[in-house]
Amino acid sequence: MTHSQHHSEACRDTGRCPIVTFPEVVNIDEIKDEAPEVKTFYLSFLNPEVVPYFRIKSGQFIMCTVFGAGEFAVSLPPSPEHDRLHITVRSVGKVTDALHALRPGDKLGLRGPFGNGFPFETIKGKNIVYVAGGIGLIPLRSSIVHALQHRQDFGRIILLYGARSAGDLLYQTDIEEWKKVDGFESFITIDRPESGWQGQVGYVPNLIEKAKVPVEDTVAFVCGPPVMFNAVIAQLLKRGMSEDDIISTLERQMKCGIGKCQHCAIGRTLVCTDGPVYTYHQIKTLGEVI
Amino acid sequence: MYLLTTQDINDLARELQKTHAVYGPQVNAQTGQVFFDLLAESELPDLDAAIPSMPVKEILFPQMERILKYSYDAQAQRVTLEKQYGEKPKVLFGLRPCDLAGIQCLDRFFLGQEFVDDVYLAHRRQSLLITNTCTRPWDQCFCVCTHTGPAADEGFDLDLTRLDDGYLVQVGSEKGQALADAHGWKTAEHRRLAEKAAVVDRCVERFPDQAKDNKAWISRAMNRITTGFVKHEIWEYIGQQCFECGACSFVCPSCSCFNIEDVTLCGDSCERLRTRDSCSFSGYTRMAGDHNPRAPVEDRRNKRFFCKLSYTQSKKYLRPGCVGCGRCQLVCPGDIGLPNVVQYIRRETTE
Amino acid sequence: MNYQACVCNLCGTGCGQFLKTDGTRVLGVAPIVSHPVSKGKLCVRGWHANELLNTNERITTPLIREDGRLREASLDEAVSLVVRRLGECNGAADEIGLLASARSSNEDGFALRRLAREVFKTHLLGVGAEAGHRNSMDSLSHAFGYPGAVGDLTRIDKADYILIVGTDIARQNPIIGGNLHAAQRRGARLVSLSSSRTQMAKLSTKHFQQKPGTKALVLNALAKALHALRTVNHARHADIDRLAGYTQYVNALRTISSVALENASGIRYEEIEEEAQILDAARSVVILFPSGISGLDKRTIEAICNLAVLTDRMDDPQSALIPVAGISNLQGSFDMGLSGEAGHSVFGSLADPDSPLRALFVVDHDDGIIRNRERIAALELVVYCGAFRNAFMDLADVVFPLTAYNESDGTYTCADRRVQLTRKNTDTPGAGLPGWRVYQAIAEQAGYTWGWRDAAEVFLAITDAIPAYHDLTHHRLAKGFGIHWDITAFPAAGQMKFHEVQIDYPKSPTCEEFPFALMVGKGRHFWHQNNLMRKTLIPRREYDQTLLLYPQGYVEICPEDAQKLKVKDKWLVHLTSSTGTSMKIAVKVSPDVQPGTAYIPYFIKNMISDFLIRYDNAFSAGEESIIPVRIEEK
Ligand SMILES: Cc1cc2nc3c(=O)[nH]c(=O)nc-3n(C[C@H](O)[C@H](O)[C@H](O)COP(=O)(O)OP(=O)(O)OC[C@H]3O[C@@H](n4cnc5c(N)ncnc54)[C@H](O)[C@@H]3O)c2cc1C
Ligand code: SF4
Ligand code: SF4
Ligand code: SF4
Ligand code: FES
Repeated sequence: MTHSQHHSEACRDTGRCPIVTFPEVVNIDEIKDEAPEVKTFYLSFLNPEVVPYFRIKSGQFIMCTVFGAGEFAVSLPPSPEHDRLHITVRSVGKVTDALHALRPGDKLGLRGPFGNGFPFETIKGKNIVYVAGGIGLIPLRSSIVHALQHRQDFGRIILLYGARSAGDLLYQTDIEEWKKVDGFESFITIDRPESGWQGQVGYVPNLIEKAKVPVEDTVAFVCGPPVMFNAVIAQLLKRGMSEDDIISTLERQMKCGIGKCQHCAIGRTLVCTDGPVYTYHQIKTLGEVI
Repeated sequence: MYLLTTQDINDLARELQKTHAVYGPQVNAQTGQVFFDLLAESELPDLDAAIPSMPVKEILFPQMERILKYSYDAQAQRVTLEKQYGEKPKVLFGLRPCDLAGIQCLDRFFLGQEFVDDVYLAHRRQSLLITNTCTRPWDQCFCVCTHTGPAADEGFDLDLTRLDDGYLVQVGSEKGQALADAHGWKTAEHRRLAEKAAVVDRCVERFPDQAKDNKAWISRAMNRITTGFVKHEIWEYIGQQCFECGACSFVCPSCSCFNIEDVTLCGDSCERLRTRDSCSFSGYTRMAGDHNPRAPVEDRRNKRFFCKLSYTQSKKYLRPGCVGCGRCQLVCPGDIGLPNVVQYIRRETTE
Repeated sequence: MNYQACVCNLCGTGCGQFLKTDGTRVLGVAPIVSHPVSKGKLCVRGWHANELLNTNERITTPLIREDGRLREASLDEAVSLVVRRLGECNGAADEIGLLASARSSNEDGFALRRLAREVFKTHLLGVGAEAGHRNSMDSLSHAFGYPGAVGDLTRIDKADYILIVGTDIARQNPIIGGNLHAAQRRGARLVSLSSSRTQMAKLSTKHFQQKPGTKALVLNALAKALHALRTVNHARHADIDRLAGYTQYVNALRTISSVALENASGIRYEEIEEEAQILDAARSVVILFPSGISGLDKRTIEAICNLAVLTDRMDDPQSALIPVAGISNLQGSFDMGLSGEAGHSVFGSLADPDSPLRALFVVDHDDGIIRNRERIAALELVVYCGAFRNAFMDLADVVFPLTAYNESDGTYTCADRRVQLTRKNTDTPGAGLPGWRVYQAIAEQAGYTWGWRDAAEVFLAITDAIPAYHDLTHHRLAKGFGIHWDITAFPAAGQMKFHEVQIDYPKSPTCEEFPFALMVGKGRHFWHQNNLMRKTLIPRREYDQTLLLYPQGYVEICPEDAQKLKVKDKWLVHLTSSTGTSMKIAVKVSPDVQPGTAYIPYFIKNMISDFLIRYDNAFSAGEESIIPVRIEEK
C-alpha cells in the first residue's frame, strides 16, 4: 500500500501532511529506561514512503496506538531536524501501562503530527528560558534541541529543570550533550538532598532568581505540574515578563487529535488543533485550566 | 424543474436501490414511530410520514461505528490493520428540510475545518440527498424560527414538493441534473413555482395551531448567549434539570461529539469503536487530579447551548447549530431541550 | 426497518426502547415516543444498551470445570453433570440452594421456581434484592390486600400531590424522576422526604430534610396532622375509621409530641401541619418509595402505607402508591414466587457455616462483590447461568450461557405491575439459551416432562398458575405497551387495613466518640454496584470519573463539618466505626448532606469487605441504616 492510498484522502496542501485517521505502523527499535515509570521508545516507520511526509514542529504531538489497549496523545520530543523519532512516556493507566509492557520489535500505530507547535522563527534573536518540572521536560526537549541546533540565532538559552530526585531527571545524557554547546546555561535541581548529588537542591521556582533570568527580549517556555507552574508564572510576572512571552502547553483528554471529537475543548478552544501550545495570556483567559 | 407522478418517484427509488443503499422514512407498524432507515428491497420511502423520530445523522454519523479493525500477534510482533469505514453509495430519499440543514452543519464541521474527517467523508462522499418539502408542521417543529424549513433552499441534489397532481422536482446539483437528464423527466411549467409557494405558505400558516410544542426565537437568545448576558441562576436552574442522559446530543441533527475506544473481541482481534458522545456527561473532559474544565453540570449544559446558539460557533456551521427539529425537547427527561432554554432566557430578558 | 421495539431491562421503570439491529448485532438505541411511562425518553443506561449488548464479555457456550479450569462442553454434557451431581444432594433437607435473578424474564423465573420445587425439591430460593422488596410486598398486602403497587406510574402525570420518600429517584430511576419533575412544573405539589439534598429534592416543591433514621416518625407526624384536620373538617368519604387497625393507629399518632419530634427529626411540627393542609386539599395523591436493594425498613414502609390509607384518596383514579424497584423484573420475580419462603433463606444458609447446604444454583448474579465467598467456594457444586461473564464464574463448576434480554422472547413486570413483552430481535452470540430452556433441559434429564416449545407456552403455564396473570397472553401483550396484572385476582384487594404502629423517637446512635451518623446509599452512576454498566463504554467512563477524583472512594460531609475537622475536599481521612472496623477514604465536601451526617455510596469495594460486612443490617435496613463513626484527619 502506498502512502497516499491509506493516508488521509483529505490531506490539504498545507506543506504538512499528517497521518489523520488510519494509523501508520511503527517499529519499536529500542527502549530506554528514563526514570522510574518513565521510558523512552525509539521508533521507525515500517513504510519508508511515509518518512518524507512526516515532518514535525517542536511542541507538536502524535496519537499513538498501543495495539489491543487503545490510543493516547503523546508529545514529540525529537527536534524537527536531524533527530531520532522517539516518545517518552510515563505509565499512568491502561494504555500507557500496556505500552510499558512492550519489547523492542513490537509495533505501534501512529497518527499525526498534530497541534500548533512552539514558535520558532518568530522568536529568533531573543533569549529563551526553558523551565521544566518532572516530565514537563518531554514536550520542551524538541524545542531545546532545535534551538541549540540554531544556537547562533538566539540570545541566552537557559534551562531550569527540577525533579523529585536525581533518578527522576529525564534525558540526562542529552543534558550532558547540550551543556557542551557554547553558552547553554543549565540549572538542575532536585527537591531533597541525597547522597551522591552535588547539584542544586530545592524547587524550580527558586532557580529563576539564581539564573538571573532576563525579561527583556525573552521568551519563557514553562512546563510542569500545576504547583510548580503557578509559582514559576508568579515569579516571572513579578520580574516584569509579559504574559504573551510566557509559553506553555496544555494537556486534555484527546480522542481524535484533529478537532472533531471535542473532548479537548476548553471554552472556545480545542487543545488539539488550536493548541497544545498557548501563551500564558491565552491560558489565563481560558479560565481555571491549570 | 420537473413534474413527476407518484409512480415516477417510486420508480426512481426502486431504480436507485439497484446501485445504492437507499434510506427513507418508514413507519414502525407496532408503535407508529417514524424512522429514516435503510429501505428493504420491496420497501418505498413513505413521503407522507412525519418528521423522523431520530435524526438522519444516524446514517452518516451512527451512534456506534467500527472505524478500524486490527489484530496483533505479540509472538511474531506483527500487526494487520483493516479500514472499516468504506461504504456503499447512499441515497437519502425524502429528507425533511431541517434534517438537510443538520447535514449541512455536519458537513461544514466534519469536512470544512483544518482537517477533514475521513470517516464522515466516506459516508458522505457518494451520497445523494433528496429532500421533501413539508406540507404541514408537526407538534415539535419550529423550523420557521431557525430558517430551515418548511422548504429547503439549497444543499440538496433533488428537492420534491407534493402538489395536487404530482411532485414538483427541483434540481440542486449536477448529480441531480444528471439523474433528471438520464430519465427525460417531464419539465414543469413556471406556474408550478407559485403552486409550491402556496404549499409552503399554507404550511407556515398551520404553525400557530399545529406546532405548539416549541417556539424559540433563536436570534434573540443568540445575542444573550454570545454576549454572556445570561444570569448564573438561569444556568443553575437549567443545570439542575439535567439528568445527564446524553439524549439531547444523540438526537440533535447537528451535534457531532464522539468518543473513541479500542475494544477487544474474542481472540486477538480488536475494533476501534467510534460512538456518539455528549458534552453533558461529566466524564467527558475529565482527567486525573480534578482537571475538569467543565465540572459543574450547569457549565456543561451551557456548553451545548453555547455550541448551538452563539455567533462564534455559528461561524463554523455558517448558520446557527439548531435547525428547529424539536427532538431534544422531546427526549429530555428534564425540561431543557433547546427551545425551552431559549424560552427561559427570553423570559429572563423580558422580566 | 432495523428498529425493533422492546423493553429496557436496566431498571424497574420498564421504559420503551427501540434497538437498532441487523439481526446479529445491536447497532443503536432509540426511545419509544408513544410509551405511556417513558414517553420517548431513556436514561444514560437505556441509551447505551447497545454498548452493553455488544460486549465481548459474553458467556457463549456451556462450561465445565476440569482440573481447576473451565472448559467448553456440550449442553447435554453439562446438563447430565448437573442432574447427576444434584441428584446426590437432598433438596428437601436444604442441601440445594437457588439464587435467582431479578432481571430474568417471568418465563425464566417461573421455570426456575418449578425446577427448584419439582426437580430439586428445595425450598431454599431467593433473589438478590428480595429483602427490601418483600417488606414492601408484605406491607402493601396487609394494607391493600395484594402484593403490588396501588395504581400505576402514569398517575404521576395527573396527580395533585406527590410524595417521594427516600430515594434519589432522579438518579436511580431517572425517567420516573423526569415525569415527577414534569408534574411539578405543571403545578402538582412535589414533596421529598430524604436526609440528603438529592437532585430530586432540589427539583421538588418542598423538601423535608429529616435526620437519618426518622422517616417513619415524620410520616406518622404528617398523618397525625392530617388526621387532626380531617377530624375538625369531618371531610372524608370512605369509612376510614371503620378500617381494621384504625383505633390503634390514631391513638398512637395522638401520642406524638412536637418537641420530641423536632428533637429527633429536626423538623418542626408546624411545618408538618402546613404540609398537612395542602395534602388534605389534594384530590389525588401519589406516593413513591424505593424498594429492593436500597429500600426502606419495614417500619417506614408501614408508615407510608398507613398514611396512604389515611389520605382517603387511594381510590381516586389518579392516586397511586408505588414501590419503585431498582431492578427490571424485581416485581415479576416476586410474583413468580422466587423470593423464598419464611424460614428458608438461601442467604441465611450461605451465611451459616453449619447449614446443610451442599450445592448452589445461581442465575445472573449482580453484585460485584460476592458475599460468603469462602462458603460458596467450599460447596460441592456451584452452577452458574448467565449471559455475561461474571466473577461468579470463578466459583462455578458448571456454567450455562443465557441469552441477553433482546435475544429471546420474554415478559417483564416493572415497578407498577405493568407486564411487558420483549421479542427476540437479535441472535445470541454462540450457544446461549433462554433460561427456561436450560431449566427444562435439566428437568427433562431428571425425568420430568414440561413440554414447552416456546416462551409463549411457558407464559400459558404462568397464567394457569399465577392468578394475577390469569388474563394475559403473549398475544395480548404484543399490542400496545403492556398490561397491569389484575389485582382483583386477590380476594382481599380493596379491603384496606392499617398497620399497627409504634411511635418512638430514634435517638441518633452517635456519641461523643463516634459523632457522625454514616449513611450508606447509591452514587449517581453506581447502579447495582455497576456490574453490567462496567461492560459499557460511556456509562463506565462516567462511573470511573468519580473515582478519578476520589480514587479511594469518598465520604460526603458538609462544609461546616469539614471546617471543624480541618479537612478539605479530597483529603484522606480515617473512618472508624463503633464496632471497630475502619477504612481510609477521601472526603467530599458537599452542601447536600446535613451537619453530623456522612454519606458513602456503597459501591466502593473495600468499604463493603472491610467496613460494612459486620453491619449485616446495613443492607437490610437500606437507606435508613446508620452507622456511628468517627472521622479523623489522617
Ligand atoms: C498533547 C498531549 C501530550 C502528551 N504528552 C505526553 C508525553 O509526552 N508523555 C506522557 O507520558 N504523557 C503525555 N500525555 C499524557 C498522556 O496522553 C496520558 O497520560 C495518557 O493518555 C494516559 O492514557 P492511559 O490509557 O494510560 O491512562 P488512563 O487509564 O486513560 O488514565 C490514567 C490517568 O491518566 C489521566 N489521563 C488520561 N488521558 C490523559 C491525557 N490526555 N492527559 C493527561 N492525563 C490523562 C486519566 O485521567 C487518569 O487519571 C500527553 C497528553 C496530551 C494531551
Ligand atoms: S438543538 Fe434540539 S431542536 Fe435544535 S436542532 Fe438540535 S435537537 Fe433539534
Ligand atoms: S436530554 Fe436533557 S437530561 Fe438528557 S443530557 Fe440532555 S439536557 Fe440533560
Ligand atoms: S430509567 Fe430504567 S428502564 Fe428507563 S432507560 Fe433508564 S435503565 Fe432503562
Ligand atoms: S482531540 Fe478530538 S477535538 Fe481535540
